[in-house]
Amino acid sequence: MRLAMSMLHDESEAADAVQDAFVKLWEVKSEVEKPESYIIRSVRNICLNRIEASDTRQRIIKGYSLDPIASEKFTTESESTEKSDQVERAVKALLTEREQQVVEGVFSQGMKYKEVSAQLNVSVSLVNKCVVNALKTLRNHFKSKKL
Amino acid sequence: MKEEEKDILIEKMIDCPEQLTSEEINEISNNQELRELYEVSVEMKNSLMRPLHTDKSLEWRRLVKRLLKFDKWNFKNVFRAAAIILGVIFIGEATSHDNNNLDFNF
Repeated sequence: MRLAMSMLHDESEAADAVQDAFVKLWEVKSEVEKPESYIIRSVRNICLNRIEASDTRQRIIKGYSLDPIASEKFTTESESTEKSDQVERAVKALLTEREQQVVEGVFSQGMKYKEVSAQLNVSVSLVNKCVVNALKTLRNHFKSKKL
Repeated sequence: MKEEEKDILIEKMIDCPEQLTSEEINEISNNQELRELYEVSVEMKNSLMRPLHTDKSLEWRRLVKRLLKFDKWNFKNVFRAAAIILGVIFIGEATSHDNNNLDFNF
């Protein structure tokens, strides 16, 4: 579910993808050796198929990568977790406290700028400024690390 | 493109992407900096977004419902196939019976 959620960014779509994977497992005639890895592989493939089926507009709206190779980066769950840890560490190490609060609201909780600005008692333009700064800082960091 | 224009586009890209025009989408796709920032935002969503609490019993009920539907569909198809086969046999028998009758008439 976590893998599907991290790829599709949508609770109901992620739940559907996981259900599809279980139905696929149910339909398999022969015995599956490692059902757990089968499910993870299936979920990953189902999510990738959904991402590939969407056009540029849909990708931006749903927050999918525009680069098809980037989507393929979700190879295993452990690699995906490692990447998440690297991003989390970079957020904590490189961003200011205010930027971290904004990032937490916008990217972790999926809040709108207006909601974050109300929660932090700051203007919407400051929220955007924090987001832009955070994105630029992390882009430079990942570029230098070649992640 | 000026920095302020980029900032406005980034705001739209992150906060309300459904409001982006086709020109703005092209701008994001073709402007290297905007595209890179977009990809970073995707990476952040992938890494930081927390899944909400999933109701396991609800998901289980949904799955069982789907699997039962699948079995029901299979069951229906078996019946349908059996009915077709029986129908063909019945028609075949009836035709051969008619032919035999015709043979007797001749």
